[in-house]
Amino acid sequence: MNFWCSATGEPWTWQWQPYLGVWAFLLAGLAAYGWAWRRLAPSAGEAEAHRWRVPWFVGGVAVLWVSLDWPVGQLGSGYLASVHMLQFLLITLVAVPMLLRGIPPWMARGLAPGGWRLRVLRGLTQPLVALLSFNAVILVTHAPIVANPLLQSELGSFVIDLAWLLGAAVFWLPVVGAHPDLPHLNRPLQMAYLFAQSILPTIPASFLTFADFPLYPVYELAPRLQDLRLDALTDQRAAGLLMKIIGGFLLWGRIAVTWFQWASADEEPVAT
Amino acid sequence: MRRAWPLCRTGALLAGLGLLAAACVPPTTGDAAEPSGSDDPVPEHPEGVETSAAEGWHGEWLDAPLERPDFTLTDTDGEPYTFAEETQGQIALLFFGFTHCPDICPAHLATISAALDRLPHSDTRHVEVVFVTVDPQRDTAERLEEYVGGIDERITALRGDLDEVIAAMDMVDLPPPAFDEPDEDGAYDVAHAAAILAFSDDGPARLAYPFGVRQEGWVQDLPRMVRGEEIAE
Repeated sequence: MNFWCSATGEPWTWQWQPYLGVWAFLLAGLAAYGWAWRRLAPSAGEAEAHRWRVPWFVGGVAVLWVSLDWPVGQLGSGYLASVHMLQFLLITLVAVPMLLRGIPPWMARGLAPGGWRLRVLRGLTQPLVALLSFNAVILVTHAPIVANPLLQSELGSFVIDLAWLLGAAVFWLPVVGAHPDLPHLNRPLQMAYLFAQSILPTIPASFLTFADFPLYPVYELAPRLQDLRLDALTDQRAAGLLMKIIGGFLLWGRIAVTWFQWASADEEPVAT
Repeated sequence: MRRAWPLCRTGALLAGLGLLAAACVPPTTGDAAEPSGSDDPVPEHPEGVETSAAEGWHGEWLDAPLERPDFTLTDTDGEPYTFAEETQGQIALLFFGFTHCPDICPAHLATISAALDRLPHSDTRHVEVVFVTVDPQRDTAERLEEYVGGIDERITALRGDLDEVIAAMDMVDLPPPAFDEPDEDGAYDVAHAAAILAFSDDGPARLAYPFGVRQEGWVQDLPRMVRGEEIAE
């Protein structure tokens, strides 16, 4: 029985395999969301007013499912660095902001109403702290000395995915503003914040793209995908380019949306 | 006012998932000493030959050097290929494997190929990579040519009758391959030693390279072999 996708050294096969831990994790997330929706909504009217958020959360879970389950999860954990990077981008830049958008303010406040939880969250989601924390997670989880051993066990692979989820949640909270009592950047600052994030991963992306040799033994020595004649160094370079180009594209897409929202808000007539 | 979601439950859930994951930790990727092919226990290294770490090299030191074997097999053009004669004066990397090998053989050969790509022609022209199939029944000359052509055309692929191949392996103290029972489609796996033997240009092999040696290791070691650096334990 497989729990979580990890490098096994087994030849790749397109035969579907179940990963029960992934399903349990995602179902637990959905169940917790449903429970919180019923238990934490202050009134039926409030719940109804925020019902539009449900598809965002479910969509975020769906993106997580695609990222973590077979085949993407297994290819990314044990065969191709480029797919591993695709997983990273999907989880941190697509799934997490969707999940946060799916959380109504009253649910966020119910989850962290005050006390030490809110204090910790408030400290972590100070924009500079959040930015640095997320990039620290990126650096550590992509460092070969850390990633290589972790990817070779299901628990280690789970830890990497969890670190991405939590790091991205901290990063996106000041932008999405899911919790009314946490720092929420105004739109110009959101754009500056996202712009900074589109620049910082250039450093790890450059290491991947311009390295003379494959950095990750787990991918270099992995059984080759017979249908895909992709050598380990090209695969790693593709990973670096994905991190920079697709990651940048996603962040710049979000910046563009924010800019248009800001511009259209300026044009709205002021109520008198 | 409704009760807040207790975060300790989230912690308990995550801890539970973590423990479940810990209980399901599988074997790790590619133990460097693991033989290729089926689960049959075939020793990685030449039989009866002790190996130990070679100082400053990425291969393993053969305590007793292996003489360059004098076997003759057939190349993919159907021409006879006498290993000792054809590789005389060259660094010869000798590897026994098979084209249906799902894991170690293609990764091993791809790693050497990538390393050769990184080295100057002045070095690579002194290196001969020879791949001998241990599965001549399925590895026809055409299939061998297509297989090595897909990895690196600089690799010389050889075949022969199974008895001839086993005799060649015996000359370098490698155990014969072990064949699994064919499945309903006639497919079967073959266990074989996964080490690459590195013969110096003046004759014997002093180093065996197990699976797990990386491109960077080959790129460092091959020029040193070409320069004739002394290989010492």
